[in-house]
Amino acid sequence: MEGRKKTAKRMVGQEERFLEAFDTYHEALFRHATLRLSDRERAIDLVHDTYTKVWSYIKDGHTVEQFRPFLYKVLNNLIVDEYRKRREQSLDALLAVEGVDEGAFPDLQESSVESLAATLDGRKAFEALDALPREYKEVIILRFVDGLGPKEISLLLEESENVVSVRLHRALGQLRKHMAAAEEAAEVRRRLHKPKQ
Amino acid sequence: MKRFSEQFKKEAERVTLRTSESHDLRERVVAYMEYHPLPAEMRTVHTIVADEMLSPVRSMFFVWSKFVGAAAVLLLVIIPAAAEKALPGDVLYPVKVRFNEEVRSSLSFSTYSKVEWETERLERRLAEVRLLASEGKLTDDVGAAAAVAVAEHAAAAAQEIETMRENDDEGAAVAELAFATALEAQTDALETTISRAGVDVSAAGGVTAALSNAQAAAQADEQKPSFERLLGLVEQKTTDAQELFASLKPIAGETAKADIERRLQDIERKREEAVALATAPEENDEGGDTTVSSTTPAYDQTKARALLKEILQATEKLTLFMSDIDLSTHVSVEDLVPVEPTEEELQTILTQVQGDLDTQVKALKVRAGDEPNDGVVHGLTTIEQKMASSSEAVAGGDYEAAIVFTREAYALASDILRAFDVEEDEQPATDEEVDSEKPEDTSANSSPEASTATGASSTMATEVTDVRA
Repeated sequence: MEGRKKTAKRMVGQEERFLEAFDTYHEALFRHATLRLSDRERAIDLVHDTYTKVWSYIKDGHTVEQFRPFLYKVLNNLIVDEYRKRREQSLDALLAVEGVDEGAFPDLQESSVESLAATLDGRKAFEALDALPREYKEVIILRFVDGLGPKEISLLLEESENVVSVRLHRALGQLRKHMAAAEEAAEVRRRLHKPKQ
Repeated sequence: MKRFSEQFKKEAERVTLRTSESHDLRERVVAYMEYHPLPAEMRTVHTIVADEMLSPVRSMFFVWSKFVGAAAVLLLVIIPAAAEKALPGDVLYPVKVRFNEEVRSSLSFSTYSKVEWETERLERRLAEVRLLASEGKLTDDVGAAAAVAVAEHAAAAAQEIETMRENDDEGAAVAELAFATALEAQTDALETTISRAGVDVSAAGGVTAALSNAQAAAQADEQKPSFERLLGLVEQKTTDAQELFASLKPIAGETAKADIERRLQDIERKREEAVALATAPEENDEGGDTTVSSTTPAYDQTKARALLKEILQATEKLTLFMSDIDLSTHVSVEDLVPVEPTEEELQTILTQVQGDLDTQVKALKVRAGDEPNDGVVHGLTTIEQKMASSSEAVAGGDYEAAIVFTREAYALASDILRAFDVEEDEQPATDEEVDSEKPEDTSANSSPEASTATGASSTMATEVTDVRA
């Protein structure tokens, strides 16, 4: 009896811990999903599904030691499923077009990602985010919105840290290109408008 | 690096769940947890298993009762509950207005609760209008329908108040005041939403008109209700606001929490002030001496009642801000209920503006040199006069007035200094130019007094330049 009581107490703890994990992370997960999917309503649903899946997992007798990585993992899988439903180009297709293997730059380190990022305007970069291919958008969001380190991202995406660094690097490069293009377009528009007035 | 991540993150943080969405999501997850509870051995409470013998009969009954029960639950609970969230144009909206609200109408028995309910229905229509307007979905049809509904509910409330007046004059006055306060808060909120969202005003025009008609009709009587009834109403409303705040605490953001807490403290402070004002002096003076001591706060029922009415207004708006969280993404709490500084805060502000003024005056004296011209002398005299009035106000305990005087002096000093600059640049100063460049420090703690002071003194400053020219 004594033993059972103890188990029960631990399990009540499970419920509380789960709800605490909801209160702590749901907003960040929602933001992540919204930015990835560009669809608020769907993002709310996916966050809901994430928590119900995790709850079912706990109900089946598993223990979740750390909620944050686990929740992100589940959400990420749901987002990937969502992408599959929408059937758009995959990273493989993207790389095939570029014709470069990701392992080609072993010397790219986190520090070079930082120095590249330092040259960009954060606000404009955010606006250009939607123009990026999904896989690039994903790493940028994980790194700069969710604040995950390269190691955490690599665990989540099941890729090597190196691959993550390279991808981040390229994503920032593309962001810069898009921002430059947007600026140029704005400049052209300004010039077109001027003679009229 | 830091700058980029910070900017980027800041931008991303604009993507937030509304408090209501957050709340709904939590409810859904909790409901899921309740329907999929932890296995019995993991739970604390163990229910006793039913008698084995009865189980076949029970299960048959169970299947049927479950079916009928489910249908009843769907019709009477789920659909109406889902309809509560509906907006004009939604499938379930008629259920909300014609079923849910009518059922509740028939459940309000006392005249007072009828007035309250009509007020709430009116508030609901306006909340819908605001929500649609802020999302740019307000059509002319919906606007017109809402205007009709607002007029209807306002008329119904007014009629109930008249019925009430026949046998409970004081109660009617309380209801009338509560109604007028709600109308005023709603008008404010609607105007801010419209101006913020930049919607086509024509769709909301009917609603605004209906609202101001209702407001004109519902002018509360100045002399009624009595202080005690008013205090009762204030206590009821502030308690409601406190409770609402407590229920929002787990889901509201840190800044929102701090903001709301501060407003609630302001309201509480004002309430104590009002009670102190209304306490009759003979009750204060326990010695039974009839002479009123000058140190006790003046006994002033009228002022106390005015204060209570202000509190009502602030509480109403704060409640609106809290309960209508969608609004809060478009309107800041400062717009609705500005912070009211305490005496210590006023003193700090005063010291600060005095410091600013000192530096400005010193700079001015340096600029003017040993032989200041008439204009500057005149300006300095005015500044000194203002400083004297300010010290007088401090002596009288009126820090707000002292701050206003000091700010005026500061604005004047800044304007004269700027006149020097303009002259050095050899550009003729026009009123608009001087007006458009307000001194940095006053804009930091901008108040309407400070800006009007700048406007007034800028004309003086141009006079000063004229004198020099």
